[in-house]
Amino acid sequence: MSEAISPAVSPLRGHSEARVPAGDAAVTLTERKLVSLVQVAAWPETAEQVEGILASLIGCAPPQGPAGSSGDAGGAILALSPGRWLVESGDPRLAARLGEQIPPALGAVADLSHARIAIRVSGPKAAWVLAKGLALDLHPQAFPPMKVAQSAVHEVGVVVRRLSADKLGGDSFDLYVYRGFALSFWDWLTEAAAETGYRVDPPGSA
Amino acid sequence: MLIPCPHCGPRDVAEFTYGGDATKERPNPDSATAEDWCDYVFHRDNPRGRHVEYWHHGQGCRLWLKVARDTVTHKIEGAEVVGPWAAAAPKQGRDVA
Amino acid sequence: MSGYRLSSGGQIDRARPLSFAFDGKRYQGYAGDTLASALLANGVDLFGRSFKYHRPRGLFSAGVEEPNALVTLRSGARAEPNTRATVVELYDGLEASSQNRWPSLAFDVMAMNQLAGPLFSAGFYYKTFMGPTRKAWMLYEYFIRKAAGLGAGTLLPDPDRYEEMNAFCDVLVVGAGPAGLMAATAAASSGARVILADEQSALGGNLRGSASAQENLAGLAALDNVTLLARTTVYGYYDDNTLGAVERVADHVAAPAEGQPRERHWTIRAKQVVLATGAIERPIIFGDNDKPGVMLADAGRLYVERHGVAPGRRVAVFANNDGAYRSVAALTTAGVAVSAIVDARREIGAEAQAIAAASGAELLLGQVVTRALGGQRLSGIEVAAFDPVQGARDGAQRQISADCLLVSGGWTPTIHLASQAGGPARWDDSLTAFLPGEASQPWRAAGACQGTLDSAACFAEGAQAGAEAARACGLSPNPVSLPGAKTEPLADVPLPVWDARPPHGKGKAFVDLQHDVTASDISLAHREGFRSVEHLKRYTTLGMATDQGKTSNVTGLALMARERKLSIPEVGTTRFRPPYTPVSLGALAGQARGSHFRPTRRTAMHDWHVENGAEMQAAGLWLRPRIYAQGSETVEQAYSREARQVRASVGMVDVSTLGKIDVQGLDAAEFLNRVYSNGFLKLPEGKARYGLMLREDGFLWDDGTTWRLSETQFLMTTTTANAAPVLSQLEFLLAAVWPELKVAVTSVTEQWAGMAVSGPKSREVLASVLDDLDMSNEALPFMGVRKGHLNGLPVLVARLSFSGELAYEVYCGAHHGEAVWSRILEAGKPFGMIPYGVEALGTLRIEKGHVAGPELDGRTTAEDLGLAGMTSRKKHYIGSSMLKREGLTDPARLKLVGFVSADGGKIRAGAHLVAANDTSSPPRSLGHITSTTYSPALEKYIALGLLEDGPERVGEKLVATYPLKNIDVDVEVVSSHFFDPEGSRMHV
Repeated sequence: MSEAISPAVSPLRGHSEARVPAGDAAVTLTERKLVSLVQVAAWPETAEQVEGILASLIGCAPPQGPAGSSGDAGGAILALSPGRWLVESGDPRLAARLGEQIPPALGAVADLSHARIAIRVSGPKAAWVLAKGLALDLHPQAFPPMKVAQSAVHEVGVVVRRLSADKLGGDSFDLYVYRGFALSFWDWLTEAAAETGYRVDPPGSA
Repeated sequence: MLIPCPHCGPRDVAEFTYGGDATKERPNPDSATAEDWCDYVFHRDNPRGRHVEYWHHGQGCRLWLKVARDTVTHKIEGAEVVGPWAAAAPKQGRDVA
Repeated sequence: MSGYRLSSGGQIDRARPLSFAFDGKRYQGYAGDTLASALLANGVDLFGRSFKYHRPRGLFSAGVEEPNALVTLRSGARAEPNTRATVVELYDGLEASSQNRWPSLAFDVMAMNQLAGPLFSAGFYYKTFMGPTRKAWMLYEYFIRKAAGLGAGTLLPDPDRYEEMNAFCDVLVVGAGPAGLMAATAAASSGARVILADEQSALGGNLRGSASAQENLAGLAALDNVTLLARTTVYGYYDDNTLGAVERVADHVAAPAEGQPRERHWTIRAKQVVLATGAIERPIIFGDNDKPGVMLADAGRLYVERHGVAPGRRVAVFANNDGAYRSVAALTTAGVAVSAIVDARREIGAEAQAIAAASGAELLLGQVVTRALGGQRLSGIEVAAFDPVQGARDGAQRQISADCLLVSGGWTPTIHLASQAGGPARWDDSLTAFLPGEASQPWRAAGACQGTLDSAACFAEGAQAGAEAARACGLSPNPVSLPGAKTEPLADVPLPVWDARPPHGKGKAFVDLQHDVTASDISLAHREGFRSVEHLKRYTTLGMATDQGKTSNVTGLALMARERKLSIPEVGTTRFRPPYTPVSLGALAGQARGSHFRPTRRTAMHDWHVENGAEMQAAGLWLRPRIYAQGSETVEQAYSREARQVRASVGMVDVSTLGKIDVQGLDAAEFLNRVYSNGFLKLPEGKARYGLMLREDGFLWDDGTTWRLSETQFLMTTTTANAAPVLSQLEFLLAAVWPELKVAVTSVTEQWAGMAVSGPKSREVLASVLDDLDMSNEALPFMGVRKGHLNGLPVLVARLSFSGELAYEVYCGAHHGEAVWSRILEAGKPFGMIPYGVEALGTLRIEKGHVAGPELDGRTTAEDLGLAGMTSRKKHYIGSSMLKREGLTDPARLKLVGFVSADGGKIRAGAHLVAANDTSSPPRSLGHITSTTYSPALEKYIALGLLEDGPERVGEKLVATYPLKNIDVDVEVVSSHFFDPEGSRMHV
């Protein structure tokens, strides 16, 4: 199936399109295009082996420490809990490939590519806006780049990952949000960002 | 109240769901008597002071934890992961069991 | 007209005049004024009427402790009652109005209440309206509430936004006066993350506007590790060093700017806290001490120094300590005439004497003010000699003319937060004040809130507390230089004088001005036996007004101690609870209002439903289509048409909201076999099975189909309502009960969009759109599950039926949901295929006697619902042991049966079933109705219900009675399988 005729519809259709404000914009919001997002679970005695398989398949180091992550836009591994990872990749066959390499004896593979949407929040006031809903210490010392946290904003579960500072030195976060709550969360986010002003970059541009 | 999740760090209690008395062990159905089941399902102490209880980090890492909490001061003495991954995340504070 | 604007001085901007209105009359003030200072400058001294007696009241303070000057700020939807004029910052165009007066502030009809003084004394409500006269309350409540009260709130929706903020820091410093500033400076020097919050419009406290404070604040503002929060009240101290604060972001302007919240609620989690919350001056009681013009001494100083406003033209001062002399000095410097200084002490220090001499005021030592004189405002005072043991003397009173009286009875440390997070307050006999008790959380106090009133000492204490807090965080603070560190010569140690009235003094003596509690109310409470401080508080309502007794609590305790002949600490004090000052509900709600009150969950086909006329209804957080009404159809007409069309041809319903859990692992089948009451070990690949889940106590919990996708992978479905609890329970079992099982469970509810295609034409429709699936009965038998494609998109197709018709569930990736849904409907067009909603879904399942939420109500067993065959006797499973309890196997339990309306009446869910000939009142309930619908297939109203001896009663006539609405319907008991009981239609 080619990209051009993809029947996939984002729950943010009609909401996350590019928008440039008249005034200041201290935050930039971008709906990212998620091609593949897969959760992998290992058993205690296979955890190291599975982590190795993930790292070699994605082509990056295993995440460092608990609640760490590794990789970049091409592919990333986020540590969710002991022996559980969220793997993102631009490879549409990621779930199938993981399924082939991780048989039931090693762990379990669950495709979540349609279950989440991803939003990038960046800019000098990104942490300020997110702190309105996240009861997490987002100070770079407490939550440095590549760190991952699972929490909730107004009862909506989110996975937050801090990226390295953006080109202008502003903060940058990727949020993974349940699909069904996506619009509700987007409404909350844009309301929270109204104070500092925000810009929306075209979907898929981050 | 903050619960020190061994995986996520200290988090607000709103992210957790209370799971009840963690000292109760599910009876072995092959040998348990009706009294054993009655005790497991219905009987609970209501201690003033230290209480070991289950908490589920449902809005976080989804791990089930055993937490030792003082029911008077809400001070948490320790927390640890329950189950096959117990050894994979560091116990917080003092031993719970 | 006593107050006036001084020609110079104050921290106001005389180049920026502001226009405002009070009770419709226009006035002018300046930037830097509060509403109180601006009105005082305009000679206004009547601000409101008192709570019970409607006595005229003026300004009493210059801060948050204000008990009298409560006004309604703004109008219309932004009207906010009970704001304290003393903390309302003036802005251009401000509108405010007085409260609790009718018809006008100057002439208030209710002021006659004071003629009925004894009527409203302590315990009035209890005495008058409890016991046999209780019913009178119903009659008089309206009038009493109208007569005694505060401002009225608006019923219009608040047009402004409120926000929450989560903050984390090493050191939170509460209060930015001398001690707080130094604490923040010292802590920040270590690199600690510091938040410095203060309730006032600018930081600095008593140093506000001074060059040293400005310099200090500029230095702090330049640091990355410091957050300065002005206009931010830390109101509550909670567990784990979590504090609540409200920042008034845009309360000092007419309306917030675009995007700006009006208030922001801060949840601050601090490793260490420094409480530098200061102290509040307290008055001394005398007759008619509530007269407008009577004011706390330090407030008088603040109006002069901060706002350039003189509180009167002929000012008298009444004190028992040196603090009031600061005010005298300030007034003298500003050129305001002080006519007399009445000091209860027989001797005062040299510095105080010098200030008194410089003021030119008559100094009356060893004397007290016994009574305020005047009508609606102060015109003079009565003074009498005072003996520290005997008190004021009767007779020989002298009158002195004055339009303003500044009173100082000493200082009450602001220990609210310390009390919320600490042990009982400590009494200090020399300060006659309560100080913070032992900390039960990591905080330390500094400055006036722990009784240190000297500025130099406050600097030093603050610096030390800040440094200690930083060290407690494992950081190393640098030494800080203390500004202007000279010890003040004035001593604030007061002579204990609480009530200056002579034995036969005249006039009402108010302790709690806001609640109109008088000294005699406290005596009365004592005489009637309310001696515990907790009883005293509740009986007299002392300290229970919106100011929480900030200027009255200690005095009230002192008076009770006098009555009981005990010391004040023996009488004790009550514990403070949050909030320290009133917090608006908007700030507490934050963004959680309107559509954000709860998040909304939408299925992948949501937009399609809305565009195609669906009426959406909430199912938990989800929105689901209820009906797709055509034209002017009623709900019943719409769902009847939809259900009829499913049975006649084909329809489709969105079932995406069902919980879906991926169960994987080598032990997945074993796990499910222990979780479900029926067997799952032998479920073949490519097959689904309907399963029942019980609670440990044996009652039914949830049901759903679970599909075996491979040897080690299952897709479990749950009811919409139990999706989250079931997943949590499965995780619990795998963690705590069977950790040896190799199973991973994951919610995939959001991954799959689901749609049920039902009706005799469903096979034809799906066969025409599926790329690669053989839909024949042989290739896809009942309960079969297959993976296939639709327009190239991967789908799962399961042949399941809850409607009794040939039916399939089609699952696809949620992002494809809308495309797959539309494609199937398009293919169904030739068959008249329709979308149907949850009403028709319910109708179809009730016609088949399938149970759902209303039957699985937590009180029913599998046997009650005719599902005993699904509870295995060959294995253990969750709930199996408790299922055998006598109460759960009692043959007298209510059992599921069906009902048809015998008289054509609509049967109500919740109606009780009674015998037709039962004439007792109330008649004996034999059971109740759980689910009801109009059945287009039977052309009758039908219902499911639980009934004593249910199956044996089939054929009997009963009455379904709903006494709340007086509705009785004759019903006939029937089998719950109303339609096609053989199931022939779905097995084709």
